Amino acid sequence: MPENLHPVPIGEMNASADPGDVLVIYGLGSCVAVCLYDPLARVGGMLHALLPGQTWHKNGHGLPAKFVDQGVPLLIETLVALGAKPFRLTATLCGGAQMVTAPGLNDKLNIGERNALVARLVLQAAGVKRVAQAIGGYKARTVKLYLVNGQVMVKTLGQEERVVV
Amino acid sequence: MIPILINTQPPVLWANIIGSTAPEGILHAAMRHVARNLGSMVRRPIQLNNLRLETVPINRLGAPVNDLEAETVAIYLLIGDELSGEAVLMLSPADAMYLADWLLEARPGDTTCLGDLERSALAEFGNITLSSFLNALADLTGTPLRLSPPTVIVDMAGAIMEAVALAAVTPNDELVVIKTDFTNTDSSIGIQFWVLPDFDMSTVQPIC
Repeated sequence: MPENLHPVPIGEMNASADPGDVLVIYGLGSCVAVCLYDPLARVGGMLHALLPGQTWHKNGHGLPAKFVDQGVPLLIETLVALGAKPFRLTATLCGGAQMVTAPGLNDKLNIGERNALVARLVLQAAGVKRVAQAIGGYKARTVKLYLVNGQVMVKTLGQEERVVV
Repeated sequence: MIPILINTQPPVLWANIIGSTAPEGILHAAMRHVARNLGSMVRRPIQLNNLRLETVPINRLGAPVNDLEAETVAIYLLIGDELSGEAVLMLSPADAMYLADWLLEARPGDTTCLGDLERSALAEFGNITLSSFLNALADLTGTPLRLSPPTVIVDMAGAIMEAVALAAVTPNDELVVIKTDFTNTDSSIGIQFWVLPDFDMSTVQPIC
């Protein structure tokens, strides 16, 4: 049966209560994917954040979902509007890889680690339980969240897709 | 007649450069210089195609890429000094291996994977290509420019788009991209060349 795929672009989020939907980010690198799911309401969402927060960018405005610290609360709010309960939400974090490594470039481009750290802190502050993660490293990932059961699948180049949760 | 811009403030200078996509403008002159250098490196005529300037919202950055999961080879570096920004050359793994054959003077088809030697050759290729563009730009504008060491990324196209967005996104969530494609006469190789001017590179704070 074909998957009802809904890509989540950079700096955006998507949420759904349709169990047939699959939210997906293709080629996630230093950005972080925050996948939230309420198993009882079968409501889930995915955030594709580029930067940890506004303070990481002097002119830090624009799409709120571009920032981890603004995007996560916004995603929770959206899921609650779809029928989720915050205390039932579970989180899976993916991405945060360091894609570009070269002398002189590391400071700026090791943002993936910071994205993941801020995501953990924001989820902790919101009381959302983190159940799994596929974070860090040097390889891009494709991440899928299945609304039917909250399963998160991750694929890297040259490897089979695997279940994260 | 190519306009010569000297001692102009960087934002104005970038604005002048990116405003010069006409065939007689600075960008075309610099890109033609790149095409000549590419041609001499691979000993084949290289054509410059479809030089254009685009303003792309970050959430649409991946839209022109058919498959964000597709393996892509990118040679990436940062531009510093008076004008800052980033530049990236992108090509398919098959084209990268074809190019590696040329660069390493191997027979066509000899390169079957991108190991350290091939990546090093591609990095040098990127360095020379991008340097020739920036040197031409520096000569035409009278502005000193400096490049970071090149880095070769072989991974999914989506992750390369993220790296590009990270460095060049503006407060309006848009990227200004100068794009062109280089092909050889029989179109057996295609290289995308993106330059992303950054009007205020200091907006990204260093990691503590």
